[in-house]
Amino acid sequence: MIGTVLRHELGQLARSVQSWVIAAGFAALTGFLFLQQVERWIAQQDALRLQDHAPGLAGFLGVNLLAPLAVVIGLLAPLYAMRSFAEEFRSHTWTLWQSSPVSLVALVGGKLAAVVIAMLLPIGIAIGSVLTLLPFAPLDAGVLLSSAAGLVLCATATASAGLYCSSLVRQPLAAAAGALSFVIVLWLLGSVGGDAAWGRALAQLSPGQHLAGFFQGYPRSGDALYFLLFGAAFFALTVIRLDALRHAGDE
Amino acid sequence: MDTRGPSAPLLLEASGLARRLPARHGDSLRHAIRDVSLTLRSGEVLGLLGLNGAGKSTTLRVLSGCLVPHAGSVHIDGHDLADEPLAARAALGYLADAPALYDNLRVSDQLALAARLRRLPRAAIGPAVDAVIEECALTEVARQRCGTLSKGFRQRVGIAQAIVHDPRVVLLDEPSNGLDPRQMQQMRELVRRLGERRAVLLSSHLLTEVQASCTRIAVLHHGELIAERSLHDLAEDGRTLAELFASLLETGERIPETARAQVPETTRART
Repeated sequence: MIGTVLRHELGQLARSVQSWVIAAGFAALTGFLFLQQVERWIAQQDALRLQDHAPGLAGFLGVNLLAPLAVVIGLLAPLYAMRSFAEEFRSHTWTLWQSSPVSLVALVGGKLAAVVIAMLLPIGIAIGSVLTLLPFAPLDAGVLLSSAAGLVLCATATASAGLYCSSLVRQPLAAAAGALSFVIVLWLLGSVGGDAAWGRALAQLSPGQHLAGFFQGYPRSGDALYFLLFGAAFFALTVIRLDALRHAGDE
Repeated sequence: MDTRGPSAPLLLEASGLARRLPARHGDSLRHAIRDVSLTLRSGEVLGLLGLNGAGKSTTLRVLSGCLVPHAGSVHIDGHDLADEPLAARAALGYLADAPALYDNLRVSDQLALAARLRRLPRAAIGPAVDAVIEECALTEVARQRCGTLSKGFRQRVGIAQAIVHDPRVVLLDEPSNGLDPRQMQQMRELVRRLGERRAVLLSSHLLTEVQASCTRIAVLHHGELIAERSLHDLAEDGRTLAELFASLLETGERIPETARAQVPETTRART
């Protein structure tokens, strides 16, 4: 049944002008940053030649291009997820799902999978921009693969938060505002505490703290676990929220 | 097997259903519905009558599984809605007061989605959609997007969506809402045809609609079921439905205890 939900949701996302506008905006931003970073890399060639362990092109772009784009992707996923439930409530299509023999886990799973698959387009644009240099310079496949994994994990986690916010309200824009505020605050936690012990502890909650390893080509299992737990927590909260709607009687 | 009459299979049993309204400050506890018990057999069309706010839509939402009752139980085709929700909902078709249609989907795609959600095998989806388009007279709009349809066609697509998987129980919430007289006539014929092989429960506040489509009526008043009669018995009493309805609301007559006792003991209220 997840397949049915996934297929329907992907169709809805593909039919939405907003999805394509977001992807186009992201492609423009990626293109701008990509050219900027390639120029920077060329300009730094003399300095890099003097370093013992100078980063390769993939490593340089991983840290300087893909890491900033991860923040953008983390913010885009809630935009793709904002309509998932809020729009169903608003247009009265929610009763179709409520009266169908579809479990809430399958429903939320299908919608989350659809958003993550839709997010593969901006992630593909980001990774693809680096791959365009392949004919001109050697690229480290390991760094690119771990960067792609980091972006997918980050998108999954924030998409899950977006789905939860979407299940709370009837207005997709309100859902997006709530999810974006949450993700931004969470990201900022990485820099508010400085070197204090409490600050370092708080920083562990920030997605940014767990992404660096992916872009340097050294992903840690603990970082992957952070994103999986983040996503699972909001997945569970969404299922609980939707079940509560049957009891509360309004959406 | 006899598919109509008293020996027909019991497809829907609701017992002691209650649903409280959300508490607002200063309000005492109020019920949207209270102690509602219903049975429905194959081949029956039961009309749920009541004034606006009587609890008809709440009853149908509870029976469809969209709303959890605060007390009571619902069995659909032998499946307890609380214990086996997916099996119970698979045997059910539901038209809500506002048809659940995606404005950007074509009618045929909307019906195919409903069929997939109701677990119809892949090979059966196309023929089922074609059949229901034919049955609900939707051929001329089958390729149109739902958002461009008139109110009457939206209602018909909503009904087609409710029956595309050939459910044994069909719940229709105010199916004639917003229809013109010709469409209402077509709707009545459709409901009568549905009732030939299925158990149909429709809610309405239009007496003529109920009289024309139903075999039995149940009257809800202030959330309580105050009467249940077959239209055949009513005709033998020499009373019109309008007279019965008016007298019930005036006197607050209750459903006879004998009728309540017909609800099997196993499905009595669980709180």
